[in-house]
Amino acid sequence: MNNQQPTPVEVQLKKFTSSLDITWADGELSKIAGGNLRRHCACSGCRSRKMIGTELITDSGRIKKINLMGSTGLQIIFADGHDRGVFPWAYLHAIANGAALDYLDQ
Amino acid sequence: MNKQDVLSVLESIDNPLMEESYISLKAVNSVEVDNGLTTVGITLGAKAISLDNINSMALKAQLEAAGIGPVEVNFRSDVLAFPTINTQKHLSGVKNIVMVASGKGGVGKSTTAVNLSLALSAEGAKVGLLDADIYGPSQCAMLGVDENVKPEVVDNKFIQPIERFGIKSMSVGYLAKEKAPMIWRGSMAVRALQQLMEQTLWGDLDYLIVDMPPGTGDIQISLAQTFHVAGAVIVTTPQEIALLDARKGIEMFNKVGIPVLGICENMSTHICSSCGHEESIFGAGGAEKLAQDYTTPVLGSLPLDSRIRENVDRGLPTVVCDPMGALANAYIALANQVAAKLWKSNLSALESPKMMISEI
Ligand SMILES: Nc1ncnc2c1ncn2[C@@H]1O[C@H](COP(=O)(O)OP(=O)(O)O)[C@@H](O)[C@H]1O
Ligand SMILES: [Mg+2]
Ligand SMILES: [Zn+2]
Ligand SMILES: [Zn+2]
Repeated sequence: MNNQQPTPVEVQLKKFTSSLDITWADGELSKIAGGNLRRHCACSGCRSRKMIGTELITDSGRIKKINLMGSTGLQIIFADGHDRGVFPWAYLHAIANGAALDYLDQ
Repeated sequence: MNKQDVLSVLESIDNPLMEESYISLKAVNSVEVDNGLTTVGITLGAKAISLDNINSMALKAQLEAAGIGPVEVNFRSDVLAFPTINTQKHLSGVKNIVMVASGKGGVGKSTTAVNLSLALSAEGAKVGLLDADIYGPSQCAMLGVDENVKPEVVDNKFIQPIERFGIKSMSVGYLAKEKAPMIWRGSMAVRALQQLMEQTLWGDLDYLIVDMPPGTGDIQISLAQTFHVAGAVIVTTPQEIALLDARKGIEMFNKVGIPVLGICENMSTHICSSCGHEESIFGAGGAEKLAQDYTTPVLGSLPLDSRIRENVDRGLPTVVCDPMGALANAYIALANQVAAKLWKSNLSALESPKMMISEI
């Protein structure tokens, strides 16, 4: 079990292109597209939707707002109003590296 | 001696509870040098008032030993709040939500939660206790709240918490008609608990302790994600199965990004009631091993002692039943560690990343 959480030093939300750029303490830069974040929302609603197998109705990954949740991570509020998802830093790092499913299964 | 000299000496003096210097704790509030007398104002981010006098004496002694001349030290505390950006509706007066969790039931989570809450309150904090164990609410009984006492409803949508022994409490047990364990469906239970949390008029609290339902399933994960939780305390007994479950608990909190403050080992040793001899029952060091594996500290250790059970059974938890006893002291020590680790965790949370939003 890796307890070493990746540490973000800079978070930039680019609203027009709907991209979240995160610079990590080790210098790595992650560029995550809004749609990718929307698909990987792990709030209880989205997880149960995925379990049942219902398709996401909106394909909009436009991000309205991001809220910093202390050391936890980011709350991402999408333009369609969906705001239940809290993305821990380690999860964002995993999404950027295509390892989101591994992170959730781990 | 000028102000700068005093500050550089303070750089090398640790606060004993935090094991970190007053400067790096950002606890030095004011330094004044006037007519040869130096006055140092310290603001601590944790409530542990039983330690304030001795720690301020020690600080004064160490400053004077460093050649600062006569020093007066003033200690005060103002609990550092978990830095969340959006305030959580009616929880906006709550500085820290702390979950007390365990991988499985019966390890003494509720007993620990109620005694921890009372110990934090005894140490000067404003404390609330939410009994979120929908499967087996027990705080009403442990706090000795009469079955007929029901929380007062305000404006048809808010509920007044029940005050007992100086702490505010809310429990699904206060609301349910029959006290028998209820079976709730997952998502419904989460919504009900969310309402209970948000509609309770907590007022200003330093710490809101949540006695979580046992387990690490979907209910627990959703609950942990619903609130902006400052930290979690994992209660475990030294048996192998309980330790395994505690592991799952730690992993769950890691996954949702909630800081695990540490582990409380319960029923770790047995104290013989006739001779007072203490021995470990299941083999020592299990919680310590767990703590090492996860680089998380052991915050406290409570022996298996029938008085702990008898006290909660009659609605008078050990901390208020025998406040000067060794068991109450162990709970106070636990409360000091929880407050300290929370302060530390919140300090590092404040060193947050730079946030930028651009329209392009
Ligand atoms: N340190 C202890 N010594 C003796 N009995 C204890 C101790 N901690 C808890 N108990 C008893 O163990 C039982 C289970 O404790 P409880 O707090 O209800 O567990 P949980 O909330 O984890 O299900 C209760 O009867 C309680 O009185
Ligand atoms: Mg319980
Ligand atoms: Zn979602
Ligand atoms: Zn004996």
